[in-house]
Amino acid sequence: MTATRILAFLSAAAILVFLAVMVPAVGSNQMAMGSGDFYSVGPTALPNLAGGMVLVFSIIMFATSGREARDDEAATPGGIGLALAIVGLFAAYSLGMLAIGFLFASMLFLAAVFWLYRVSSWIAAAVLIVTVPLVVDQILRRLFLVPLPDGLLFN
Amino acid sequence: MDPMLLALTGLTEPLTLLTLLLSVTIGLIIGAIPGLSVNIAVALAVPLTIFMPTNQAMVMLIGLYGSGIFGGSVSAILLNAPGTPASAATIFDGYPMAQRGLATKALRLSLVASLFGSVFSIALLILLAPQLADFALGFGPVEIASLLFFTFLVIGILSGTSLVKGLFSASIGMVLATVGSDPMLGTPRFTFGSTSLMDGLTYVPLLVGLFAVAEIIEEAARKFSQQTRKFDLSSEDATANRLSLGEIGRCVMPMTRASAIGSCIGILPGIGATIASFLAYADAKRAAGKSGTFGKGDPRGVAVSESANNAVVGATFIPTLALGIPGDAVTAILLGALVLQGVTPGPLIFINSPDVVYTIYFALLASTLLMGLIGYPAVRVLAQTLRIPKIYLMPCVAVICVAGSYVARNNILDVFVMLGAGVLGFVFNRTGVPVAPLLIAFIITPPFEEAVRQALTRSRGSFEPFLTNPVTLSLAAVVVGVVALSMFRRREARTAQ
Repeated sequence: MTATRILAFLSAAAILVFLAVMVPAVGSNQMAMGSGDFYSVGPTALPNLAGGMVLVFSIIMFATSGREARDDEAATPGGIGLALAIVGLFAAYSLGMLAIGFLFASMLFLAAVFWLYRVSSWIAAAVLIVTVPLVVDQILRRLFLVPLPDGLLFN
Repeated sequence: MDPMLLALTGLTEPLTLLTLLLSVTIGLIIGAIPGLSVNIAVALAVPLTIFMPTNQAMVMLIGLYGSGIFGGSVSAILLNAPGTPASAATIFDGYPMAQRGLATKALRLSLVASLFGSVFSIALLILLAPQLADFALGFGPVEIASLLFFTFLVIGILSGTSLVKGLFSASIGMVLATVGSDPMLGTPRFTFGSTSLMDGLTYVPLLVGLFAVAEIIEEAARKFSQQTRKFDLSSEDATANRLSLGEIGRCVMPMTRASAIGSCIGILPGIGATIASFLAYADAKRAAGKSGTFGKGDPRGVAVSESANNAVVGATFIPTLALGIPGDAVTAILLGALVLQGVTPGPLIFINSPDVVYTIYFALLASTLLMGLIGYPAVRVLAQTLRIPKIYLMPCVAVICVAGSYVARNNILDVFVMLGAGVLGFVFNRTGVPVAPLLIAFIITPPFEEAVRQALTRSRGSFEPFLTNPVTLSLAAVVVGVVALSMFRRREARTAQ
């Protein structure tokens, strides 16, 4: 199965859940709030329209993505494992930011990426690991007066 | 104070001028680095603009936009790989010129053509946008809803290579825009009890994810591999690389045609600079006939491609400002930035915030001028940026993405929205689904829903006003024409293959 077909299949499955479970829940929520009689079109109209369109286009995409899809995908290289690795690091970084703060989480993230993808010079990497998070933090903190998370462990 | 004077005063403030200088310089550098497109540059700058006054914010984003598109030609000419997709057609003649030892000349010509295209489209913007806005002022909910749905269909149909994939992307954008409170009744939709989601998915993390994070994931999948520069500009013959007035003169007519094509494409929502430069290149090649040396290092090839893609810049602001409909992904980002500043683009902007409109005009002109002043002497320096290793650059950009997404609302949820959008953007890029329709549909869906529901409330649920309105019927006819043309072209292309 081509990547386009997998995307179309997953989208269709997800949107069916959206249309069958999530949108009706919004409708019942509106009824509970006791409003909406005046309006001829309620809050579920657009989700139904948008969801319906996703479903239709997913099905068409699944049905028609034969040769054309393979042509599109032929030019793209592999490396899904490496892509998943960086997504995992991003997720760990985002969660870690809450616990140990932006500065340390960023430093660890940079170090992990540089290690995983094998940088040629660890001196340059070390300079970046220390300076980039510090500079970003200081610019936002001092110039724009926006503090980044300090981390629950340090509060 | 007169709005024009107010805008001019705002622009001449030292901090604003410094912002313009920095943004043009950064735009040139980011545009030149393959993998860091102009979309990424503008997306990363949006979180900072939240904390700036409107004129400074606009100057920053516009400076990055214009110069970033030119910056893309640097790697197109020197690496045979465009820094931004908009410069893809520049490769056809830019790279052969570089192979003949004329890389500096190609870069300088590319800059002159970029300036030409920019000025052409800015003039068009100043002439057309107020007229279009004036016409649109008479629009009621029926016309607004029809126009926005028309945009939704057109961006879906014309973006990318597949009609279905474009419409699929736009539909996903519409679904994502339904998260949050419903605009008429305030009923929570898909918020899962979280108050953070009551305002909907935040725009900043979404666009940072779709453009920047998706590209970082893609680069990581390619192990941050780097193309090496094949040409040393310092060893080139300086006399042969001097750009004479005669050479520029020979390009004026092709550049004018290309700028006109670029401007027309820019006005239509969702198509963008990449298609404009390819169309202009094909037009110039056809016009030159057998006498042309297109594809073998013809300077006109570089000139038409670059003037067309830069002509899109000013023209995309015509629907953005006059109708509140973004012309491409970058103006979609700019439109969102304007909303964050409390300015609502659309016909009323010319009445309610004329100073913002003038600021945009002046910022476009000033950034174009500055791009010429900085770019011409700095083409050789810009070429050095291609040496920056991606393995060091991309992880640092990732840190900026996370910080930028977080500061938009000081909410960690936004960082996860950014990551989700990044994965979605990566999957879309890998499967040939265009990302721009998603973002544009995400932005136009709330006003579309509001207009539809207002119209249907007025008509007590009847769709009759939509079926009898001349604007709706005209737009429907245009959509039918666009679909037919798009299907015909695809069939022709398939037959040719």
